[in-house]
Amino acid sequence: MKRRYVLTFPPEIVDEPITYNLIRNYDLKINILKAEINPGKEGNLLLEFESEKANLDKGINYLEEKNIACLPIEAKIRFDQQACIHCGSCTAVCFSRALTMHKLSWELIFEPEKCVACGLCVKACPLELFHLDF
Amino acid sequence: MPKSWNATYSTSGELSPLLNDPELRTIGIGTRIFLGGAQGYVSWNGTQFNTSVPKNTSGIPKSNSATIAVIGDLKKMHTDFIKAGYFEKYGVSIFIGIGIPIPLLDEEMAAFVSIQNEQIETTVFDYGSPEHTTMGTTNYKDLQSGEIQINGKKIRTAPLSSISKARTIAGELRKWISNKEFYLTEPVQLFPTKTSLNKLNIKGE
Repeated sequence: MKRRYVLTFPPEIVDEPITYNLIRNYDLKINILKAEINPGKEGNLLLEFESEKANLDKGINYLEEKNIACLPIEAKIRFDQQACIHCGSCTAVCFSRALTMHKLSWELIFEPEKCVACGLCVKACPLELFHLDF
Repeated sequence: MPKSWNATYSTSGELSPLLNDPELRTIGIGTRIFLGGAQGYVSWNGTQFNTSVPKNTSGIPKSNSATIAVIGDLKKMHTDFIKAGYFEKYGVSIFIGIGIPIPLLDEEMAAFVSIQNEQIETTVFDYGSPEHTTMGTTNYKDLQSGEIQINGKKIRTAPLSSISKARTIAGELRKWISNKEFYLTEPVQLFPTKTSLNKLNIKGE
């Protein structure tokens, strides 16, 4: 299975090779989609994991032991779907195609699992309905 | 986005009232309309109103043409159909739902309202260049397909006005008319014909 998570590193752990340990010890296939690591400061990492569920659970346990917050990407994006008027402006800038228009209903489809947290939709939405916590 | 990464388009194409009455035979000053969820009126021709734009074989202007100024009672409107908007690096704007009933007076009007997206051609401009250079032409069928081809390059497209809302408005207006809550009006005065825009020529520094 493939899942995207945002890892938030407390400042004291930023210099540890966490990603290496996840790959080496839990056999997780990892794709780094976005990273913000600053020594001495909190860091964020958007990872796509591909693995058996059991291994992924063990990996997440390891992260929790290390005090690294590990949240599915959808928990990091807030989108006020109720207020959306389906204008489609956000689909112009969403190059990971997490935001698309339904070809028949012309309503916005948001698939957070495709999101790469680039944040372009935050500025593109004229109603300011997207908030990205990264 | 830079380097022709995407193209955006406005209006709901074949559902857009002004494209269904391109000769402005039924839409004029005084026309009663659906405005932001309430009843409103066309009060005048709008900003950059230009009826000298060349038309295609279907009678549709090939670029920005007629626009309308409207008036209505804000207190009777509904937030489902009126929203404040902000466009990055452009400024404050408004989304307002407008629906205009078009009476089928004769065969010509019937032909006009049967317009299809592929018959609505328009010009593609590069808004990234100071002169807004013309890049080519396209039609609404291609724009709504999600991809157009300009000079051999495939460009992703995205709408800026809500097509699903446009359908809601059309349905709502239809309901009002059949429930006799909304009566069609004849324009008090037709819009001027053969108008054009004057360019602002900047002389010297």
